[in-house]
Amino acid sequence: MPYVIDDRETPRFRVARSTMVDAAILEEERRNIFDKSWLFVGHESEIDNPHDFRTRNVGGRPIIFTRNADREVRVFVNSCPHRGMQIETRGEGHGRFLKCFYHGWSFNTSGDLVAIPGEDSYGENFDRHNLCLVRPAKVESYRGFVFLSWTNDIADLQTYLAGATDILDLFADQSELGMQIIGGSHLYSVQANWKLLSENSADGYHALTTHHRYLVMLKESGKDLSKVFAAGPAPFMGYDLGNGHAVIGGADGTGGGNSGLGRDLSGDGLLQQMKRRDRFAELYGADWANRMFSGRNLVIFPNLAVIDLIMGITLRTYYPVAPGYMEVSAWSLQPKDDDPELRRMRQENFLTFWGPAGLATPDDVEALQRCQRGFAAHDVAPWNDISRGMASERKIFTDELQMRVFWREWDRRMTGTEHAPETPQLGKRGRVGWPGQLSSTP
Amino acid sequence: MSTRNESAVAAPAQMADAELSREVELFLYHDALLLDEWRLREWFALFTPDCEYLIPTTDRPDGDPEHDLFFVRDDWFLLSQRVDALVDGTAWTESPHSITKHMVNNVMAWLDPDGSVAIRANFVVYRSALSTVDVYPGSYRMRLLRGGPAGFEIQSRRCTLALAQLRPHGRVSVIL
Ligand code: FES
Ligand SMILES: [Fe+2]
Repeated sequence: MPYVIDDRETPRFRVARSTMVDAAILEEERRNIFDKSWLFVGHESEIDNPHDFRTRNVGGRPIIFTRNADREVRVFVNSCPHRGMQIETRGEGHGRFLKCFYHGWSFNTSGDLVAIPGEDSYGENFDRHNLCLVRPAKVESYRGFVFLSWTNDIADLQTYLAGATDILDLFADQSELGMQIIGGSHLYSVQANWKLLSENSADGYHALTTHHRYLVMLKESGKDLSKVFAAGPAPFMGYDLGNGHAVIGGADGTGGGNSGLGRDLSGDGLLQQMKRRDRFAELYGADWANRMFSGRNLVIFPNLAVIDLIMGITLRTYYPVAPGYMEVSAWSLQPKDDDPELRRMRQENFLTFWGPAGLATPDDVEALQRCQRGFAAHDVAPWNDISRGMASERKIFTDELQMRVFWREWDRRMTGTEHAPETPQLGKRGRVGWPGQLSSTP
Repeated sequence: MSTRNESAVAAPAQMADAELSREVELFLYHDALLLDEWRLREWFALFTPDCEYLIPTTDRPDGDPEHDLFFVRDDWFLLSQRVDALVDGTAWTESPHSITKHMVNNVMAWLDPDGSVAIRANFVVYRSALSTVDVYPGSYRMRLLRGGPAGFEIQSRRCTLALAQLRPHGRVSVIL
């Protein structure tokens, strides 16, 4: 039985629910997807100073994410070259040396083994250089976003990211001083298959129903929702960015003037925001600034979502522990130079929607978990339908193009089946020439 | 947002006030009862208009809501919205309502010179839905004012989870 049925005639797109529950499929995903992709490690701002470190799991392996004395970003496997102990278990910290307490070996933040108790017992030919901390095959970063690959056999990061680089620019451009991940993480889980979160993170279709209570809150706060959902000159659309990456987003034409899915900014905050918008219009052009200050949901294959609701950017990565259980880690990305009023609004908007106790995310968690429960009947009810918008030329954000983009890449990796793109793929274009730019929209 | 941030309240040096602590303990039992019986509008009526309801993240338990990421940072309006959705069934994650039990103990209270009451207490909240039971241990820091039909009103409620991660819970969908 195929995993993906991509019928362009009818048209109809179906995905086998067995892919969500089968442990053998998860093992193949580890080999064919997670071990052959660029995986998100962290943001450079999390390790601002030399010897700052963070620990996390990337692609199922424990890693240490740090910066050495020369300020270079370093990623190490968090396992002692001696006999394997996980060296650091704190989530974050600072220290010139990474010390393994088991037998006392110490490493510097370049990964060199710098001290061994009783080194003379190893004989003359002993070479410490053979016992440095192990590194992933590759580590590269794009505009502050650091990724690793567990294989050497992979294109460079920018080539892999393809058109997603432009979308990352839309986040990174939002501060001239740089963007930062603020302190604190949302470390939670979902009892559902990891692919459901790749789907859900750019699912415009579920907003009105699943997030009803969030929208009610916005309305009660005095927000004019018709403005948010109005089809502007370049409304939210879905785009295939190549290599399984996709985005829904747009340029709403108001340049972020309280048009996003957050509570309206106060007079002062709004003024600040408009000042920023104008500054970026000067730097990058009005079209790009408009796009920057509109929202977007970006999913980078396989397991990174970067979502801007306007005033609240979340970075979220997730990894399957079992077919029906994933661990999610999420952070808040903000401009370094927000003034306090804007920062407060940003914090508030972020939390109101995002996170395991927001007014939105818990309902996503519930939806995904209930899907997973439904998949228990996959043998008698075997298919998910992801056909929405397949029949139309223009793919709007409430269509399901972005999920089909994910699944076509998934199927290519898993079964070797090549699916022709449904829409032209947008490679890297830079800050010009995006479809739906205000100046190029009829 | 309230101007008084409970995270800024230092650990009191003096022993708690015994009589006041007993009084506050009964108030917290009342609070827990309303939550467990899902009488959330009555519960919400315990709050002052300038209230705040905070839950720091598991990795920044002493975080400052102005600078750090939190799980919850509600003012009166957001808390009222949270309560409304939990009551009317549009908070899907609590629809149908889960079964909860709020256990409160280690209650300590101090009277401040301005007449407000600073409290510390521990809690364990059990939440059962479908086939799972989630356990949320943690501690309360609250700022209470004298007044209202229940004897006190809540100006600030900070619930710090004694959990390293929100796994496998995945969410805090009930009120702590
Ligand atoms: S395992 Fe680390 S020093 Fe022995
Ligand atoms: Fe959602």
